[in-house]
Amino acid sequence: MVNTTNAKKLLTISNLNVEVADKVLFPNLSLQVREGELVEIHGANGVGKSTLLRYIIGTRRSPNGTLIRVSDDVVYVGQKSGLNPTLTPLENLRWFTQITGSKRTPKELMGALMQVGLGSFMRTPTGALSAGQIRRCGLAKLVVSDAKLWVLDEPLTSLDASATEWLREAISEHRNKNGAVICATHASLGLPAATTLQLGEL
Amino acid sequence: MNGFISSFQRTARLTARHPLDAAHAVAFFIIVTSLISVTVDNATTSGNRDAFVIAIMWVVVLLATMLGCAAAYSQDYEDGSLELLVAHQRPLFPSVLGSMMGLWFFSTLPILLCVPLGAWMLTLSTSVWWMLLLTLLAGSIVFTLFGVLGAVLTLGIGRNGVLMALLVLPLYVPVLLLGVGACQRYANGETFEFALASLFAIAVALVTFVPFAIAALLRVSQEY
Repeated sequence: MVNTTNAKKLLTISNLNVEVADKVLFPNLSLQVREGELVEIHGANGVGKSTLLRYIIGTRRSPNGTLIRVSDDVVYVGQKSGLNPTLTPLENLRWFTQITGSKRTPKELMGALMQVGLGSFMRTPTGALSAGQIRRCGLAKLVVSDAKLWVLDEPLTSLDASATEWLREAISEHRNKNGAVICATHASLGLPAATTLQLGEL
Repeated sequence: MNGFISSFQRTARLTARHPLDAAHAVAFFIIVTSLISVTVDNATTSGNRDAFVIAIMWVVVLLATMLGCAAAYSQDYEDGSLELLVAHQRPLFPSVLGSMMGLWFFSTLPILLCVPLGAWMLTLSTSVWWMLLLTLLAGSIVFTLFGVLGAVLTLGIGRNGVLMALLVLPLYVPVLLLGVGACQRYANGETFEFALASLFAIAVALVTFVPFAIAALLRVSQEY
């Protein structure tokens, strides 16, 4: 684990008002994420966890408050899979590396799918996979991404025990390599030295 | 450049998997032109057959193209691919342009390829065919751009066909009039060069600007 006091800041949020349809869900949120950190965002349904993540990945823009991301280096696995059901997992993953600009050979892409247990489903249309398999395929994006900051929205949904264990290990390994993880979740990942941000009780 | 190529390839791959989606618009074109060819005989349009056929062909191509564009980006919106695209692609312009090119190439171009068939069924003078195709080449590019603009404006509303038609039809009209006008002038032996040049100038300008508008709308669609 990286010593957090010397670690570089990857994300700084100060006085951000998280709003949905002109309603302020929580005002003046401040948060810093450094290399090697895991931040778990907890809170009841509808409290604004996913909305906060969308501010972080930049698909929502805030009229007030500042959000500074050190680099564009971010990978997002959201509640929607981001996978086209007509294309195969392999094609979806290739498209993902194309839009994020991370160079990966076909072999590396296949290796990533094998890691998440989709080795024999690489050429099956994604729409024909089960909910858990689609989820695994979404998580394979983490393997093929160069991003330092992982932003995960309810990553444990639909995952079985072995996939959950794989994700926990992947997160630990990523933190050891100076990466950071922000994760909105109801069930704690149970990993050491995690910071918890409880929303809705400010 | 990367964004352009990857979107074009993706559109090509998706069309190859579901060729029937693109065939829809082509079938619509063939059905409408053949129905007109059996119901409107030469006597009804005596004197100005060519002008009539040119107008009909333009209108049918316009409607068929609209049909082909109605679903643009809706699957990406549903499955979250659009969210990833907006989050990762800065600028979005090359990727939007790639999708537009793909859409024009794989769903609008097949309609244009059927235009000679329609012209033959409606007995258009063969000397006008090439002019009809040339003007429709520019016209179909504009129709595709506006069609996608309409589809993107109504993303997330669901069952957006009618609303989309209402929104974008007014945009089509000037180009429709210009294109039909150029072609009819040519058929009548009048000067057509200015109208033709204006038509292509408009097409080039729109290819440059409309993808920016579409990219901006795609960003807005992810704000809610």
